Amino acid sequence: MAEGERALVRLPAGGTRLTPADMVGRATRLALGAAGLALAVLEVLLERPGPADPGIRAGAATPSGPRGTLRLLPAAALGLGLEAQRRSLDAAAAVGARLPPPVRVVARPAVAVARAPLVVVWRRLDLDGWAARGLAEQRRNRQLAAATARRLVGAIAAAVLDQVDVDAVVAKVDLDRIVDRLDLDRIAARIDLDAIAARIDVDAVVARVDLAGLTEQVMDEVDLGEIIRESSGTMANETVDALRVQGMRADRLLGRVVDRVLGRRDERDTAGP
Amino acid sequence: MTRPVRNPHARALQGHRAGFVSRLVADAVDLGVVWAIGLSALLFAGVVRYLLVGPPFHTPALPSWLRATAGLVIAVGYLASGWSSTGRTVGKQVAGLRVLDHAGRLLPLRRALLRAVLYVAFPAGLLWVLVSRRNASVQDLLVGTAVIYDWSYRPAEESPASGEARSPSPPPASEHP
Repeated sequence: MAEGERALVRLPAGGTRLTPADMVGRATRLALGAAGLALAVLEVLLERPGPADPGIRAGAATPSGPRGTLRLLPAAALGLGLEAQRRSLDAAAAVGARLPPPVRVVARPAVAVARAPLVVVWRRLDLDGWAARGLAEQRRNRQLAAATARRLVGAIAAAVLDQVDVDAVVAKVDLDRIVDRLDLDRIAARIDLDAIAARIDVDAVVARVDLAGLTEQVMDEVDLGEIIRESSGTMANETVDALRVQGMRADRLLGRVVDRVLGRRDERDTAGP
Repeated sequence: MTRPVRNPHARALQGHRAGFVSRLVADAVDLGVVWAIGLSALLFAGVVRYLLVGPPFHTPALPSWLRATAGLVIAVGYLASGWSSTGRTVGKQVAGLRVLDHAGRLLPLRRALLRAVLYVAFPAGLLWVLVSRRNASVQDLLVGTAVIYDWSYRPAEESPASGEARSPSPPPASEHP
């Protein structure tokens, strides 16, 4: 059993070249895994508590009675068939390697067919063992199929993305229409401003503001003294100015009158020092 | 700080010798100021006497000669200090005048005192402004001073801007009656 498991787990490495036998084996595994996955999906869809993953139950306890035996039969047949296939392929490969190339191709299936019944005879009919082997095989097959499917989907998605011009797609999106469809009033109505305001630590904000420096800066900018002087002095200044101008005019008028009385013709020389 | 003179007529006359009316107005205001100073001195003396001696409160009754002398001293001191410090007393500030010597400078204290004594002793000397061709009073002629229109806050020595507005210094005043 352990020897068989080891042999079955062996898979060709990704980098090595696959022989025809390996390719056939792998294709079989993939087909079986895909079928298992499809069956599992179908069971989930039908919501039937059937043997979605019989391997768990098979490994946990040995089934007993005619029902258990019946359920083991498909799995045992699978395990047996796979083992037969593997041995046949191995034998065919071994024989084919010793034959000259033309004969090699022809002899391969014959060797395989001849070798398979011998294996069956040599093995004693251990149904449980064959069932466990079959289930393990099927589990591996499903894992292989799932991994292949994941890689395939990834590759397809990358290829699609390479083809798609995302900028062109974005350019086609009419953001204005989307914004038009948004009811901003409703969104704003749902915002609880009081709660937001309650969370603001005003004291901390005020503490971070350099009020003294700010005030000093403002006072530097505003010439308060000049404003007070201007506002309080404007009226008084205008009154005084008017008085002075009247005095100047009276000075000139009186001077002219006196000059005329004195019989002077020319103007006074009032130029200052 | 110099306040700009908005009135074009007044601006044109800045630095010119002032006439009789402006100077009379200035002297009238100064007379009121001197009277107020004298009254304040009397009240101050009364308060001091009240604090020292006690009620009743009254201003000291000075003999008339002392009162007159005190008034003259106050007037001389007030005028001389104003002319020598800023070139103007309160009355000349109101009228927009300034007293300068013939070089356009502020009067030294001694000349300001002499001018003040002359004015207090002979106020009628101001009347000569009426007949003087250069608007000079008797005191101006004797001391060698001139009273000009100057609305700036500071005298020409401290404010070059107002000095530029004035005409260049003429030769000493010669009277042509």
